[in-house]
Amino acid sequence: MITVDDLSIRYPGQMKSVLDHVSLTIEQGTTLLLGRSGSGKTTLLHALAGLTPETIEVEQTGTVTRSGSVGVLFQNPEEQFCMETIGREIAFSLENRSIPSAEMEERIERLLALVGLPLPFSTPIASLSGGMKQRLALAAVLALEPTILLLDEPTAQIDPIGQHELMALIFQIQKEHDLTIVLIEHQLDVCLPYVDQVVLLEDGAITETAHPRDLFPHAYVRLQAKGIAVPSLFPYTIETLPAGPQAARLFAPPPVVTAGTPLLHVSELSTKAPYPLTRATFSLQTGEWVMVLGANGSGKSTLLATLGRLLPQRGTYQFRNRPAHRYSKRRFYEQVGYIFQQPDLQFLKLTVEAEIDWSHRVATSDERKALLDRLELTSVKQQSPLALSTGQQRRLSVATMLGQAKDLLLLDEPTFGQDGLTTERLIEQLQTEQQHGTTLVMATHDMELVARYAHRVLVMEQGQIVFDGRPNELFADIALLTRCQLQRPLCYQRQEVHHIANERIPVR
Amino acid sequence: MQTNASLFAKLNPVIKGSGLFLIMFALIATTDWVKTLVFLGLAIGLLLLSGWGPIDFLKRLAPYSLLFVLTFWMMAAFGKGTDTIWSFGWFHVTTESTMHGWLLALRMATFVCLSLAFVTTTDATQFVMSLIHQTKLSPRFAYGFLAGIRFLPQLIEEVRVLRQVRMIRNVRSRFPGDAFLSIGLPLFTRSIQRAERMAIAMEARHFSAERTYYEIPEVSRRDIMYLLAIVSFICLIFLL
Amino acid sequence: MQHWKMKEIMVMMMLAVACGVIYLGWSTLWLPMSAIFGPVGANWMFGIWIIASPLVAAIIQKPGAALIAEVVAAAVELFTGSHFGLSALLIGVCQGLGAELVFAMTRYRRYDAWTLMLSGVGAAVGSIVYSLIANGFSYYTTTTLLATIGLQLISGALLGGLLAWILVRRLVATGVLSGFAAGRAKREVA
Repeated sequence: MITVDDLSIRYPGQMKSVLDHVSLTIEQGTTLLLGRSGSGKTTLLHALAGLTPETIEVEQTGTVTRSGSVGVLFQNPEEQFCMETIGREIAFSLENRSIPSAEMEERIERLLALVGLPLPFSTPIASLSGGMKQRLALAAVLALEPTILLLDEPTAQIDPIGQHELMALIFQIQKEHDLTIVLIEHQLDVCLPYVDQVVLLEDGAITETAHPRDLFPHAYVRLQAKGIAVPSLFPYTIETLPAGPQAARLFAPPPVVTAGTPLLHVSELSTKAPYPLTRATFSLQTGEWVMVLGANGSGKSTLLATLGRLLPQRGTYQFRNRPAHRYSKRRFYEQVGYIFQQPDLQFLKLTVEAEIDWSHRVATSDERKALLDRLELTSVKQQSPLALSTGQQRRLSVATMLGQAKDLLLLDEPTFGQDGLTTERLIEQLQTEQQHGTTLVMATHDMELVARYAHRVLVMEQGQIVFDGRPNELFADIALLTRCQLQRPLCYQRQEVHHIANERIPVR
Repeated sequence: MQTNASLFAKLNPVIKGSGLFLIMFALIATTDWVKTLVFLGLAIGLLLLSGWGPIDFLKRLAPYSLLFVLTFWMMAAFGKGTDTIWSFGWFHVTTESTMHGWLLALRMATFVCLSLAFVTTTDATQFVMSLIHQTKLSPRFAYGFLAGIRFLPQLIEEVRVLRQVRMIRNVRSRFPGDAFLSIGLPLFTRSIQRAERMAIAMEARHFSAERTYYEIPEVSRRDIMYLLAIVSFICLIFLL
Repeated sequence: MQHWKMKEIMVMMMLAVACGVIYLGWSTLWLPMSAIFGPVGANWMFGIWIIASPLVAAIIQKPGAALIAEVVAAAVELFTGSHFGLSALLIGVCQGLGAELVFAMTRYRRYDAWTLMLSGVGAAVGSIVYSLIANGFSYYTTTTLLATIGLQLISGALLGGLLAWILVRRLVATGVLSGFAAGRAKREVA
C-alpha cells in the first residue's frame, strides 16, 4: 500500500509545479493513472516508486509512505537492460539484491519460465522481439520480489499482438503473486478489464477517482474533448456496442479513390542479405495511398529503403518512365521524400524556424509563418528541434518533407508509439499532400489507419509481397491475416456486425 | 569481441591482457628488428594457441599486408638517415630508415597478432567482471560501461540514418568538423537522454556497489604460469 | 575521489561510446586522406580522435572525466574486435592523461573555449609522447617530425577542443544538459 500526502513536485528550472498538493491512497488491486501528456502522471508514478526526489532530482514537498517494496517497468525495454544475454540480465537484478550466487541459477530459470521465455541463459537479448524484451524486463523486475508493481506505459513500444500477450501475462502474475499494480497506459481496451480504480489527473491535480465502469461510458465525451485517452470498446464488445459517441468513432468512411497517372514501376526488385527483399513487383500511381503491413522483420523497412534508393538493389525500378538509377541523387530526392521512424534523427538546423526555412526555401516568409502556425510551432520557433516534445517533433519532421510537391513520400511507421491526437494531426498533414497528387507509401502496424485511409495494401512476409490489393479484400482473408500476425480493424468488424444486424431485420 | 574454446581462452582475461601488454612494452623497448621478429614469432605462437589455424590466419591478416607495406614505406621514405639508397622528391630512402621501417612494420604486425589473440578469445562481460575482481574497478563504472557498450549496434545504425538524412536533404560539409557537429548533435542528445533513463532504470533496480556476483573470475595456477613464461621469454630475448 | 551520480557515469559512458563509434568511422577516411594530403599532411584529421575528453569533461566537470572518456572511447575499438584494439587502448590512455592534466592544472573549474582547446593540445602532447616512444617518431627527419607534431597540436586544439566546445554549447541549447554541470549555469541565469 502507498499513501501520498499533500505531494507537490517541481522540476528545477521550471516555474510551474508538475504536481500540486496531491493526496492519494493506493490500495490492493490495480490502479490506472489517466491524463493528458503533461498532466503529471509520469511524475506521480516516479514519486510512488521513490525515484524522486533523489534519483530524479526535483523539488518535493509532502510525503509518500510505502509499505512493501516497489518494482518499476518502464516503456522502452532496450533502455532497461545492461547485459547481453537474458540469463545475465536477470542475474543483474539478483546481484543487486545480494542474493547468494549459489541460488541464482535456479531463480533465473524460474523467472524465465514465469514470463514465458524458457530459453537458454545465453540467448542474446538482441535476438528477442519487442514483446519478448518487455517480458524479460518484467522478469528482471520480478527478480527483486516486489509487492507493488509500477508500470509506465509498458506496451507503448510493442506491436499490437505483443501488447495483448504482455497485459495478459502481467495480470496473471498479479493474481498469482497478489501484487498491487499502478499503471499508466494509453491502450485502454487492453487493460481496463483488469483495472479496479482509475485516477484522473489534470494539470497536476487529481480531479476524479472512480471504478472504470463508473467512468466509462458516461465520461467518454468529456474526456475525449480534453484529449485524454479513451477506450474504443470498453465496457462493451463489438457486438454489444450501442449507437453513441464510441460507435461513431468506429465508423470509417472508405477512402475516396480517384484515378491517377502511373508514377513508378518495380519488377523483380531484390536486395542482398542481410536485408530481406525478394522479387518485388508492382506499380504505383500518383495520389495513391499505399500501406505496407507485415510482422517485424518481414521487409517493410527494406522495401521503403529500396524505393528510396538507400540500399543496393537488383531488378528494375522505373520512376516516371526512367530507370531510377539514371536520376542524380539530387534530382531524385527533389521528387522523393523519406521520413524515418525516429523524428529526432531528421533535423538539420539549430532552431525550428531555421528548419522550416531550409526545407521550404521556395515559400515566401508569410507562407512559412502560416505553416508554423498550422503546425502549432510558432511559440517554440526559436527552440532547438531536439528540445520539442515527441508530438511536436513528429509534426515538424513530417513538415520538412511536405509542401514541396514531391511525387513520392516514403514513411517508415510514422505513427508508432504516438497517441491518438498526434496520429490524427499527422494524417491530416499527409492527406493534404495526397490530395495534391503525392503518392504515399507508408509502413504501419495500425490497422485502423489502413481501414480508413489506405487505397491499397501490400502485405510482406519474409521479404516477399504476399498480398497486393484493396484493404477490404485483405480483411476478408482470415488465413492470411493470422499467418502474418495482423488483426482486423475494429471499425471493419463493427461494419460487419452492423451489416449482419441489418441483414437480419428483413428476415424477422 | 568473442570467445572460443581454445587454450588461450581459458586464461583469466585481466592476466591474459597484462601478459600481452608486457610483450607490447618489451617490443616498444626493442630497437632491433631481429628481436622484434622473434617477438612476432611468439605472437603467432599465441595465435595458434588461440585456436587459429594457419589458413584462417593468412586469410584474416591478408588485408593488413597493405598496412604493413605502408608502415614500412612511411618510415623508409621519411625517416632520417645518412646512407642514401634512393631519393626522389619528398622521398628519401636510406639504410637506417629501411632498418627502422622493418622495425616498425614488424612491431605493428606483432601488435596486430597480439590484439587478434586477445579479441578472439575473450568474452566482453567476462573481461569486465575480471576488471572488477582483479583490478578492483568500481562496479558502478564497470556495469555502466557494459550498459553503454550494449548500444554499439544501435549507435552504428543511428549514424547510418543520420548520414542518409543528410544525403536525402542534400546537405554538404562546409568545413572539416561540420559533419561531426551536424551528426554529433542529434546523436549525443539521444545518448544523453538514453543515459539518464538508463541510470533511473538501474537505480530503480536497486543497483549499488553492495552486491553479490553471478560469476567471479579467479586467478589460477595456469594464469601465474602463463605470466612467468612470458616474463622469462622477454628476459631471455633481452639477454641474448 | 568525488562522488559520481549514476546518471553522470551513464552519460560519460554513453557519450564516450558514441565518440568511439565516430572514431571508427573517421578512421575509414585515413587512407583516402593520406592519398590526397600525403601521410604527413593527413595528420590534420587528428583532433577528432581526442574529442571525447574535452566533450565529456566540459559536461560532467569532475576529475577523471577526461581520462575515462578517452579510454572508454578507445575501448570501443577493442570491444568491436578490432585488430588494433590493444594499442588503441594504450594510445587512449596517453591522450586521456594529456587532456586530464590540463583540467587538473585549472583545478577542474574552467571549461571555456580556451581551456578546452588547451586540453586538445594536451591530448595531442600525450599522443606525441606515445608516438615518440612506441611509433618511432624519433626516427623521422626533423622536417617530417615537426610537420607531424605541428599538425597534431593544431588539430587537437581546433578539431578537438574547439569543436567540443561548440558542440557542448549547442547541446546546452537543446536543454538536454539541464541536469548536469554544463547546463546548470544556464539554468541559474534563466
